[in-house]
Amino acid sequence: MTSASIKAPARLHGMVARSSRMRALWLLALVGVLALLAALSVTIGTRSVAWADIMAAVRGGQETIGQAAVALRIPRTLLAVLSGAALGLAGAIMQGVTRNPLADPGILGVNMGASLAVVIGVAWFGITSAQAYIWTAIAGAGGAAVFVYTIGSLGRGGATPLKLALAGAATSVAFASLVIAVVLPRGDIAGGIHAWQIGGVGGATFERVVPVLPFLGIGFVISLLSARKLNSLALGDDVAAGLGEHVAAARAVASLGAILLCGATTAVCGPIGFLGLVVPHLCRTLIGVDHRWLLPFSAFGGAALLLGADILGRIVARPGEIDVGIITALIGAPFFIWIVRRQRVREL
Amino acid sequence: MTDHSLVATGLSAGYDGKEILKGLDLTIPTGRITVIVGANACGKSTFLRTLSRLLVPTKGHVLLDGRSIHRTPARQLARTLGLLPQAPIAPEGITVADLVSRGRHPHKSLFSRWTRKDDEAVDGALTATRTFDLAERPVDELSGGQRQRVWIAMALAQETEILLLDEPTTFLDINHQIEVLDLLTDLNRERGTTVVMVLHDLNLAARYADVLVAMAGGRVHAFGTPEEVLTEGMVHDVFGLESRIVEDPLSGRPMMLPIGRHRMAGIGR
Repeated sequence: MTSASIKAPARLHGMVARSSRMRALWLLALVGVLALLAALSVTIGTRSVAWADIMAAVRGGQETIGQAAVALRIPRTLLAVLSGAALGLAGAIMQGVTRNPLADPGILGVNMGASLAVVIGVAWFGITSAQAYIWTAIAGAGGAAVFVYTIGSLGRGGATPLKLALAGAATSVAFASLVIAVVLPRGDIAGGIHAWQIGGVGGATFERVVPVLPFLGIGFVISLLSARKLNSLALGDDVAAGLGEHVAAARAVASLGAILLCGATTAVCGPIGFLGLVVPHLCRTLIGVDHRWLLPFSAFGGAALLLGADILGRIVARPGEIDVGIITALIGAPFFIWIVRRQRVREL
Repeated sequence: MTDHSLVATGLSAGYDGKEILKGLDLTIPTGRITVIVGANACGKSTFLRTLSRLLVPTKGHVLLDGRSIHRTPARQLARTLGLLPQAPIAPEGITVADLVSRGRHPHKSLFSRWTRKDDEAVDGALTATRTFDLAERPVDELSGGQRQRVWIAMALAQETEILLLDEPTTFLDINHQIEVLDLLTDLNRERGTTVVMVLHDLNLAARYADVLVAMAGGRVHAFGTPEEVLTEGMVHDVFGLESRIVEDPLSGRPMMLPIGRHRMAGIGR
């Protein structure tokens, strides 16, 4: 008995260290994949460019058409990485906050809320600046999140996974129709809005990407610092409160992080769906349910997946392109059905 | 040994404007096992929730060491007072070690790292609840009794001197009920933890309680040793049941035998 209790801490420590090492290896592998994809993203496109031109473009050259094409791929790659990371992380936060395996910025209507706000801003208030886009999108994302959560919490049993998903899906559809209703009488803006509404990172420029950086930065920091709170919330509100967590405040803070990420991303890329659903699930199967690992993993995983989807969209439809929002929907929709069927949609 | 005092004075609380606790007064005996019994809807769980800050009282106070717990910072309170709610749900796929580690939450600030002391607390909790060998298993795969032991381990890792448990034996087979109650008694004897729990089974309550509290209508109906509290009169008043109290031949504690309308051939004897 005595010898067992002396040895025990060392054993436990070894166990924790081993699983940490395994997770660190996975993280390293994921970062490697992301780096590889980033390199591919700069080299692959609808136009084939010679290696010398690619290298010249990376160093800032813009002399030939090839170099100019590659120069456009650099901000595009950056945007894909950032928005993928933002959506993956936001998905993990939303799943944690709502304890709901179906939560996702798209399914909960948050991205569509951001979208609707931007469309109204453009159509009725004539906003044009990047700052105005971002603030409007974040306000829309926040409004939609509060609205869906309130609707989903009505009635007995509070915000169950299915009720939230249904409230979100219904709200999303309603917002999407409102977007059409707002845009329809406005032939002058319809083309631009329509392209943006599909969701994509094509046509990104540094001028469009730079203004969102502070918003994403703050969103990333708030979200990543919520890991421990989410770990307590995962045990249920009563247990979390018993562990000294302010349940409502923890939810609000973590949600704020996710809303910043979703709003800022939607402002530049349009509403990209399903990434926030798929990525945290895949990450969870790799490294488990500890949010201190899950959140950074979801960020890197989201970046890799969005970048991969964007590259795929450039290859499959040569000489044209398929927007990344379409690719993620094609991957995500079957995945959503699989999750619903596999799990008995229990609470996380 | 604990020297914290936990006192409820004139406590009223409820849900949606409906008052369930009605001016309850109770001093929790330090370093003892207090078991609360009572009929359904008498306010047992509400009382426990109010004691542990989950519910804000409409009137009265819960005082920990003379200070209202609703004015104590949550994290600080959670280092003294632990709570295990009824039938908690573990996230899917979480391992035993991970779940128990989360009990350290109130001891950690935003940036503090995992320390040797945390390791020792988790290890001690796993050892005390004999769940060490389960540490790497997912909680979903465990039996009901093992799972409850794991949750108790989480509460132990919190290292509080007062532990509140809402029906820790519900949904468990009788052997696992005994196992959990024995474990809590060990904890009380070895660490001096003040244990307060709600139990459904009167006979188990009488056997394991140092102090038995019978609640009725949102108030304390009777308070004292099991011998003082578990009487035919109390069972009649609180549960509306005729009964006979005999001595449990194993523990020497009172044991309640309910009187029904059938199979009462021995009632004359």
